[in-house]
Amino acid sequence: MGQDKRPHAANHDAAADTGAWDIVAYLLSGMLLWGGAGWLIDRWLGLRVFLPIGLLFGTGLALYLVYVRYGRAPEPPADQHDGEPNGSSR
Amino acid sequence: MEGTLNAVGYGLAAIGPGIGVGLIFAAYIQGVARQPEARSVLQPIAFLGFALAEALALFGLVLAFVL
Amino acid sequence: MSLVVLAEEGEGYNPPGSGDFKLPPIIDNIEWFTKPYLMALISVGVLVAFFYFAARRPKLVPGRLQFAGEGIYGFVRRDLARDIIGSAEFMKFLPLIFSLFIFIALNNVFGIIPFIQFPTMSLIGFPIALTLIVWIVYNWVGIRRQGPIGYFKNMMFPPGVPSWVYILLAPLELVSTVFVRPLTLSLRLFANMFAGHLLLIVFILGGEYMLLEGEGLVKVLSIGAFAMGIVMTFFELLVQVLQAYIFALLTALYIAGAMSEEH
Repeated sequence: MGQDKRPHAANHDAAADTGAWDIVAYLLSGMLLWGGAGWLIDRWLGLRVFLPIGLLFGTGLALYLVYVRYGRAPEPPADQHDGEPNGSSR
Repeated sequence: MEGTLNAVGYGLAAIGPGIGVGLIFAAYIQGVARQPEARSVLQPIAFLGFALAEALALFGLVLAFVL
Repeated sequence: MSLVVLAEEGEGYNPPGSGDFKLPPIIDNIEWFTKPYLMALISVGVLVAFFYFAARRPKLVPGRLQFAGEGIYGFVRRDLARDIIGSAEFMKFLPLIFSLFIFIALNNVFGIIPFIQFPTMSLIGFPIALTLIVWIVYNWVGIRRQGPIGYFKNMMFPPGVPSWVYILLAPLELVSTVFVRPLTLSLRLFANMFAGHLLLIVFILGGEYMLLEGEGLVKVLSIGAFAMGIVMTFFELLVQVLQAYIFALLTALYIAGAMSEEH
Protein backbone atom coordinates (compact mmCIF):
# COMPACT_ATOMS: atom_id res chain seq x y z
CA MET A 1 0.00 0.00 0.00
CA GLY A 2 1.11 3.63 0.03
CA GLN A 3 4.02 4.86 2.05
CA ASP A 4 3.13 6.41 5.36
CA LYS A 5 3.99 10.08 5.08
CA ARG A 6 3.68 10.67 8.80
CA PRO A 7 6.05 12.29 11.26
CA HIS A 8 9.24 10.45 12.02
CA ALA A 9 12.43 11.77 13.50
CA ALA A 10 15.04 12.47 10.87
CA ASN A 11 17.47 10.44 12.87
CA HIS A 12 15.82 7.35 14.28
CA ASP A 13 18.43 6.98 16.98
CA ALA A 14 17.42 10.29 18.44
CA ALA A 15 15.37 10.40 21.57
CA ALA A 16 11.88 9.00 21.49
CA ASP A 17 9.52 9.71 18.66
CA THR A 18 6.38 11.68 19.20
CA GLY A 19 4.74 8.26 19.35
CA ALA A 20 3.82 8.02 22.99
CA TRP A 21 2.43 11.54 23.20
CA ASP A 22 0.62 11.22 19.90
CA ILE A 23 -1.07 8.10 21.20
CA VAL A 24 -2.26 9.98 24.29
CA ALA A 25 -3.53 12.74 22.01
CA TYR A 26 -5.40 10.25 19.81
CA LEU A 27 -7.07 8.57 22.78
CA LEU A 28 -8.04 11.86 24.37
CA SER A 29 -9.39 13.34 21.17
CA GLY A 30 -11.34 10.16 20.39
CA MET A 31 -12.98 10.30 23.78
CA LEU A 32 -13.63 14.02 23.56
CA LEU A 33 -14.94 14.03 20.00
CA TRP A 34 -17.23 11.03 20.15
CA GLY A 35 -18.06 11.49 23.81
CA GLY A 36 -19.03 15.03 22.98
CA ALA A 37 -21.13 13.84 20.08
CA GLY A 38 -22.81 11.33 22.36
CA TRP A 39 -23.44 14.04 24.91
CA LEU A 40 -25.01 16.29 22.29
CA ILE A 41 -27.26 13.44 21.16
CA ASP A 42 -28.18 12.95 24.80
CA ARG A 43 -29.20 16.56 25.13
CA TRP A 44 -31.17 16.39 21.93
CA LEU A 45 -32.99 13.20 22.85
CA GLY A 46 -33.12 13.68 26.59
CA LEU A 47 -31.52 10.33 27.34
CA ARG A 48 -28.42 9.50 29.31
CA VAL A 49 -27.15 6.47 27.51
CA PHE A 50 -25.37 7.98 24.54
CA LEU A 51 -22.60 9.64 26.46
CA PRO A 52 -20.92 6.40 27.61
CA ILE A 53 -21.66 4.82 24.24
CA GLY A 54 -19.95 7.74 22.55
CA LEU A 55 -16.99 7.52 24.92
CA LEU A 56 -16.52 3.83 24.29
CA PHE A 57 -16.92 4.19 20.57
CA GLY A 58 -14.43 7.06 20.52
CA THR A 59 -11.94 5.04 22.53
CA GLY A 60 -12.32 2.06 20.22
CA LEU A 61 -11.90 4.22 17.15
CA ALA A 62 -8.83 5.88 18.61
CA LEU A 63 -7.32 2.48 19.44
CA TYR A 64 -7.91 1.40 15.86
CA LEU A 65 -6.21 4.57 14.64
CA VAL A 66 -3.26 3.88 16.93
CA TYR A 67 -3.05 0.42 15.44
CA VAL A 68 -3.11 1.84 11.92
CA ARG A 69 -0.45 4.44 12.63
CA TYR A 70 1.83 2.76 15.10
CA GLY A 71 0.79 -0.83 15.57
CA ARG A 72 1.71 -2.23 12.22
CA ALA A 73 5.25 -3.17 11.49
CA PRO A 74 6.74 -0.53 9.22
CA GLU A 75 7.20 -1.60 5.66
CA PRO A 76 10.77 -1.74 4.53
CA PRO A 77 11.53 0.70 1.74
CA ALA A 78 11.61 -0.87 -1.68
CA ASP A 79 15.35 -0.44 -2.07
CA GLN A 80 16.49 -1.93 1.22
CA HIS A 81 19.33 -4.34 0.78
CA ASP A 82 20.36 -5.72 4.15
CA GLY A 83 18.41 -8.54 5.71
CA GLU A 84 16.75 -6.58 8.48
CA PRO A 85 14.27 -8.76 10.31
CA ASN A 86 10.84 -7.45 9.65
CA GLY A 87 7.48 -8.66 10.77
CA SER A 88 5.33 -7.20 8.05
CA SER A 89 3.19 -9.84 6.50
CA ARG A 90 1.32 -8.36 3.62
CA MET B 1 -10.39 18.80 53.85
CA GLU B 2 -12.56 19.29 50.85
CA GLY B 3 -12.51 17.85 47.44
CA THR B 4 -14.46 15.74 45.09
CA LEU B 5 -14.70 12.01 45.09
CA ASN B 6 -14.03 12.14 41.37
CA ALA B 7 -10.43 13.08 41.94
CA VAL B 8 -9.97 10.24 44.43
CA GLY B 9 -11.52 7.88 41.92
CA TYR B 10 -9.20 9.05 39.20
CA GLY B 11 -6.22 8.69 41.49
CA LEU B 12 -7.13 5.11 42.27
CA ALA B 13 -7.84 4.39 38.62
CA ALA B 14 -4.44 5.63 37.57
CA ILE B 15 -2.52 3.14 39.71
CA GLY B 16 -3.10 0.15 37.43
CA PRO B 17 -2.27 1.81 34.10
CA GLY B 18 0.78 3.42 35.67
CA ILE B 19 2.18 0.05 36.62
CA GLY B 20 1.06 -1.43 33.33
CA VAL B 21 2.79 1.15 31.18
CA GLY B 22 5.91 0.76 33.28
CA LEU B 23 5.90 -2.98 32.70
CA ILE B 24 5.35 -2.61 28.99
CA PHE B 25 8.21 -0.24 28.45
CA ALA B 26 10.44 -2.21 30.80
CA ALA B 27 9.91 -5.24 28.60
CA TYR B 28 10.54 -3.15 25.48
CA ILE B 29 13.76 -1.76 26.86
CA GLN B 30 14.93 -5.21 27.89
CA GLY B 31 14.10 -6.64 24.51
CA VAL B 32 15.95 -3.92 22.66
CA ALA B 33 18.87 -4.17 25.06
CA ARG B 34 19.29 -7.85 24.45
CA GLN B 35 18.94 -7.58 20.69
CA PRO B 36 19.10 -4.09 19.23
CA GLU B 37 18.10 -5.28 15.78
CA ALA B 38 14.72 -6.24 17.16
CA ARG B 39 13.87 -2.62 17.79
CA SER B 40 11.71 -2.07 14.74
CA VAL B 41 9.87 -5.31 15.40
CA LEU B 42 9.18 -4.59 19.03
CA GLN B 43 8.26 -0.93 18.69
CA PRO B 44 4.77 -1.38 17.20
CA ILE B 45 3.95 -3.94 19.84
CA ALA B 46 5.15 -1.62 22.59
CA PHE B 47 3.05 1.24 21.26
CA LEU B 48 -0.03 -0.92 20.95
CA GLY B 49 0.30 -2.19 24.49
CA PHE B 50 0.92 1.34 25.73
CA ALA B 51 -2.22 2.58 23.99
CA LEU B 52 -4.36 -0.12 25.52
CA ALA B 53 -3.07 0.51 29.04
CA GLU B 54 -3.23 4.26 28.69
CA ALA B 55 -6.80 4.12 27.41
CA LEU B 56 -7.97 3.04 30.82
CA ALA B 57 -6.15 5.83 32.60
CA LEU B 58 -7.53 8.45 30.22
CA PHE B 59 -10.97 6.96 30.63
CA GLY B 60 -10.69 7.57 34.35
CA LEU B 61 -9.54 11.12 33.73
CA VAL B 62 -12.37 11.92 31.35
CA LEU B 63 -14.98 10.38 33.61
CA ALA B 64 -13.63 12.32 36.57
CA PHE B 65 -14.54 15.50 34.74
CA VAL B 66 -17.68 14.33 33.04
CA LEU B 67 -19.52 12.82 35.94
CA MET C 1 -20.21 17.02 43.51
CA SER C 2 -18.35 18.20 46.54
CA LEU C 3 -17.69 16.29 49.67
CA VAL C 4 -16.21 17.49 52.92
CA VAL C 5 -14.35 14.49 54.14
CA LEU C 6 -12.68 15.39 57.39
CA ALA C 7 -12.97 18.39 59.66
CA GLU C 8 -9.71 19.09 61.37
CA GLU C 9 -10.18 19.69 65.06
CA GLY C 10 -8.86 23.06 66.02
CA GLU C 11 -8.63 25.78 63.47
CA GLY C 12 -5.98 26.82 61.17
CA TYR C 13 -4.44 24.34 58.80
CA ASN C 14 -5.22 25.54 55.33
CA PRO C 15 -4.40 22.86 52.82
CA PRO C 16 -2.85 24.28 49.68
CA GLY C 17 -5.13 24.99 46.82
CA SER C 18 -5.38 27.02 43.69
CA GLY C 19 -5.73 30.12 45.80
CA ASP C 20 -2.03 29.85 46.49
CA PHE C 21 -1.36 30.74 42.90
CA LYS C 22 -3.15 34.08 42.96
CA LEU C 23 -0.41 36.47 43.86
CA PRO C 24 -1.09 40.09 44.70
CA PRO C 25 0.10 42.86 42.40
CA ILE C 26 3.40 44.45 43.27
CA ILE C 27 2.36 47.99 42.39
CA ASP C 28 -1.01 48.63 43.89
CA ASN C 29 -2.81 50.17 40.99
CA ILE C 30 -1.60 47.87 38.24
CA GLU C 31 -3.58 44.67 38.70
CA TRP C 32 -1.65 42.46 36.33
CA PHE C 33 1.89 43.28 37.42
CA THR C 34 2.32 40.40 39.82
CA LYS C 35 5.39 38.51 40.93
CA PRO C 36 5.29 35.86 38.21
CA TYR C 37 5.07 38.54 35.55
CA LEU C 38 8.04 40.34 37.04
CA MET C 39 9.99 37.08 37.32
CA ALA C 40 9.34 36.25 33.69
CA LEU C 41 10.68 39.64 32.63
CA ILE C 42 13.68 39.31 34.91
CA SER C 43 14.39 35.85 33.55
CA VAL C 44 14.58 37.25 30.03
CA GLY C 45 17.04 39.86 31.21
CA VAL C 46 19.13 37.30 33.06
CA LEU C 47 19.28 34.94 30.10
CA VAL C 48 20.17 37.66 27.63
CA ALA C 49 22.90 38.93 29.94
CA PHE C 50 24.27 35.45 30.62
CA PHE C 51 24.59 34.45 27.02
CA TYR C 52 25.82 37.85 25.92
CA PHE C 53 28.68 37.71 28.36
CA ALA C 54 29.30 34.05 27.61
CA ALA C 55 29.72 34.73 23.92
CA ARG C 56 31.68 37.95 24.19
CA ARG C 57 35.31 37.68 23.18
CA PRO C 58 35.33 33.91 22.74
CA LYS C 59 38.66 32.24 23.24
CA LEU C 60 39.86 28.96 21.87
CA VAL C 61 40.34 27.62 25.38
CA PRO C 62 37.12 28.78 26.95
CA GLY C 63 36.75 30.41 30.32
CA ARG C 64 34.09 29.21 32.73
CA LEU C 65 31.25 31.39 31.51
CA GLN C 66 31.96 30.62 27.89
CA PHE C 67 32.18 26.93 28.69
CA ALA C 68 28.81 26.93 30.41
CA GLY C 69 27.13 28.90 27.67
CA GLU C 70 28.65 26.77 24.94
CA GLY C 71 27.69 23.61 26.77
CA ILE C 72 24.03 24.53 26.92
CA TYR C 73 23.94 25.87 23.40
CA GLY C 74 25.81 22.89 22.01
CA PHE C 75 23.51 20.46 23.73
CA VAL C 76 20.40 22.07 22.29
CA ARG C 77 21.91 22.50 18.86
CA ARG C 78 23.24 18.95 18.61
CA ASP C 79 20.80 16.75 20.39
CA LEU C 80 17.61 18.66 19.96
CA ALA C 81 17.80 20.50 16.70
CA ARG C 82 20.26 18.83 14.39
CA ASP C 83 19.54 15.25 15.29
CA ILE C 84 15.83 15.66 14.99
CA ILE C 85 15.17 18.20 12.29
CA GLY C 86 18.12 17.11 10.20
CA SER C 87 21.29 18.92 9.34
CA ALA C 88 19.80 20.64 6.32
CA GLU C 89 17.21 22.80 7.95
CA PHE C 90 17.72 22.92 11.65
CA MET C 91 19.33 26.35 11.75
CA LYS C 92 16.07 28.05 10.89
CA PHE C 93 14.42 26.67 13.97
CA LEU C 94 17.31 26.60 16.37
CA PRO C 95 16.63 30.07 17.83
CA LEU C 96 13.08 29.07 18.68
CA ILE C 97 14.01 25.74 20.23
CA PHE C 98 16.93 27.17 22.15
CA SER C 99 14.93 30.10 23.49
CA LEU C 100 12.10 27.83 24.54
CA PHE C 101 14.47 25.51 26.34
CA ILE C 102 16.36 28.09 28.36
CA PHE C 103 13.32 30.25 29.07
CA ILE C 104 11.27 27.36 30.37
CA ALA C 105 14.20 25.87 32.28
CA LEU C 106 15.02 29.09 34.10
CA ASN C 107 11.42 29.91 34.87
CA ASN C 108 10.83 26.42 36.18
CA VAL C 109 13.89 26.50 38.38
CA PHE C 110 12.57 29.72 39.92
CA GLY C 111 10.29 27.37 41.78
CA ILE C 112 13.04 26.22 44.08
CA ILE C 113 15.25 29.29 44.33
CA PRO C 114 14.83 30.82 47.81
CA PHE C 115 12.88 34.07 47.99
CA ILE C 116 11.40 33.46 44.55
CA GLN C 117 9.94 29.99 44.95
CA PHE C 118 7.25 30.30 42.37
CA PRO C 119 7.51 28.49 39.04
CA THR C 120 6.23 30.92 36.46
CA MET C 121 4.94 28.10 34.30
CA SER C 122 2.47 27.02 36.97
CA LEU C 123 0.12 29.73 35.78
CA ILE C 124 -1.71 28.35 32.80
CA GLY C 125 -1.29 31.46 30.70
CA PHE C 126 2.45 31.07 30.24
CA PRO C 127 2.46 27.52 28.83
CA ILE C 128 -0.50 28.39 26.64
CA ALA C 129 1.33 31.36 25.18
CA LEU C 130 4.43 29.29 24.41
CA THR C 131 2.35 26.49 22.95
CA LEU C 132 0.53 28.95 20.74
CA ILE C 133 3.84 30.00 19.25
CA VAL C 134 4.88 26.39 18.68
CA TRP C 135 1.49 25.54 17.20
CA ILE C 136 1.59 28.37 14.72
CA VAL C 137 5.14 27.44 13.75
CA TYR C 138 4.60 23.77 13.08
CA ASN C 139 1.33 24.22 11.26
CA TRP C 140 2.80 27.02 9.19
CA VAL C 141 5.83 24.93 8.32
CA GLY C 142 3.65 21.98 7.38
CA ILE C 143 1.38 24.01 5.17
CA ARG C 144 4.28 25.77 3.52
CA ARG C 145 6.16 22.54 2.92
CA GLN C 146 3.39 20.26 1.76
CA GLY C 147 0.85 22.75 0.50
CA PRO C 148 -2.41 23.19 2.38
CA ILE C 149 -4.15 20.33 0.66
CA GLY C 150 -1.22 17.98 0.94
CA TYR C 151 -0.64 18.74 4.60
CA PHE C 152 -4.17 17.93 5.63
CA LYS C 153 -4.41 15.02 3.28
CA ASN C 154 -1.30 13.36 4.63
CA MET C 155 -2.47 13.99 8.13
CA MET C 156 -6.02 12.81 7.82
CA PHE C 157 -5.88 9.87 5.47
CA PRO C 158 -3.47 7.21 6.62
CA PRO C 159 -2.71 4.51 4.11
CA GLY C 160 -3.81 0.96 4.53
CA VAL C 161 -7.32 1.51 5.79
CA PRO C 162 -10.52 0.32 4.10
CA SER C 163 -12.07 3.36 2.51
CA TRP C 164 -15.34 3.40 4.37
CA VAL C 165 -13.51 3.90 7.64
CA TYR C 166 -11.93 7.14 6.44
CA ILE C 167 -14.99 9.16 7.22
CA LEU C 168 -14.68 8.15 10.85
CA LEU C 169 -10.93 8.47 11.13
CA ALA C 170 -10.33 11.76 9.33
CA PRO C 171 -12.07 14.07 11.83
CA LEU C 172 -10.43 12.19 14.67
CA GLU C 173 -7.00 12.72 13.16
CA LEU C 174 -7.73 16.36 12.50
CA VAL C 175 -8.90 17.06 16.02
CA SER C 176 -6.00 15.13 17.46
CA THR C 177 -3.20 16.75 15.53
CA VAL C 178 -4.51 20.26 15.29
CA PHE C 179 -6.22 20.68 18.64
CA VAL C 180 -5.37 18.07 21.22
CA ARG C 181 -1.63 17.90 20.56
CA PRO C 182 -0.94 21.51 21.55
CA LEU C 183 -3.33 21.01 24.43
CA THR C 184 -1.30 18.14 25.80
CA LEU C 185 1.90 20.07 25.21
CA SER C 186 0.82 22.99 27.35
CA LEU C 187 -1.01 20.91 29.93
CA ARG C 188 1.98 18.66 30.50
CA LEU C 189 4.20 21.61 31.39
CA PHE C 190 1.52 23.36 33.41
CA ALA C 191 0.42 20.30 35.37
CA ASN C 192 3.96 19.28 36.26
CA MET C 193 4.81 22.73 37.58
CA PHE C 194 1.47 23.18 39.34
CA ALA C 195 1.65 19.83 41.07
CA GLY C 196 5.29 20.28 41.99
CA HIS C 197 4.60 23.64 43.58
CA LEU C 198 1.66 22.21 45.50
CA LEU C 199 3.80 19.33 46.74
CA LEU C 200 6.43 21.70 48.05
CA ILE C 201 3.78 23.82 49.73
CA VAL C 202 2.27 20.77 51.40
CA PHE C 203 5.50 19.51 52.84
CA ILE C 204 7.12 22.75 53.84
CA LEU C 205 4.16 24.73 55.11
CA GLY C 206 2.64 21.58 56.55
CA GLY C 207 5.86 20.90 58.37
CA GLU C 208 5.87 24.44 59.68
CA TYR C 209 2.31 24.04 60.90
CA MET C 210 3.16 20.76 62.55
CA LEU C 211 6.16 22.29 64.26
CA LEU C 212 4.44 25.39 65.54
CA GLU C 213 0.93 24.23 66.27
CA GLY C 214 1.26 20.55 66.89
CA GLU C 215 1.52 18.92 70.27
CA GLY C 216 4.10 16.44 71.33
CA LEU C 217 4.53 13.68 68.81
CA VAL C 218 3.34 15.85 65.97
CA LYS C 219 6.07 18.34 66.71
CA VAL C 220 8.66 15.60 66.50
CA LEU C 221 7.20 14.21 63.31
CA SER C 222 7.45 17.58 61.63
CA ILE C 223 11.04 16.75 60.93
CA GLY C 224 9.75 14.11 58.54
CA ALA C 225 7.77 16.74 56.71
CA PHE C 226 10.83 18.94 56.36
CA ALA C 227 12.93 16.01 55.21
CA MET C 228 10.36 15.23 52.56
CA GLY C 229 10.43 18.89 51.63
CA ILE C 230 14.16 18.66 51.00
CA VAL C 231 13.81 15.47 48.98
CA MET C 232 11.00 16.94 46.96
CA THR C 233 13.04 20.05 46.23
CA PHE C 234 15.72 17.99 44.56
CA PHE C 235 13.13 15.93 42.76
CA GLU C 236 11.51 19.13 41.58
CA LEU C 237 14.80 20.32 40.17
CA LEU C 238 14.99 17.19 38.06
CA VAL C 239 11.38 17.48 36.93
CA GLN C 240 11.73 21.15 36.07
CA VAL C 241 14.73 20.73 33.82
CA LEU C 242 13.24 17.58 32.33
CA GLN C 243 9.99 19.33 31.47
CA ALA C 244 11.87 22.11 29.73
CA TYR C 245 13.81 19.49 27.76
CA ILE C 246 10.63 17.61 26.83
CA PHE C 247 8.92 20.80 25.66
CA ALA C 248 11.84 21.69 23.44
CA LEU C 249 12.16 18.11 22.23
CA LEU C 250 8.52 17.85 21.26
CA THR C 251 8.70 21.21 19.53
CA ALA C 252 11.58 19.94 17.44
CA LEU C 253 9.79 16.66 16.73
CA TYR C 254 6.58 18.37 15.67
CA ILE C 255 8.47 20.72 13.38
CA ALA C 256 10.39 17.80 11.92
CA GLY C 257 7.18 15.89 11.45
CA ALA C 258 5.49 18.77 9.71
CA MET C 259 8.38 19.09 7.33
CA SER C 260 8.84 15.48 6.38
CA GLU C 261 7.33 14.46 3.11
CA GLU C 262 7.97 11.02 1.78
CA HIS C 263 10.19 8.42 3.33
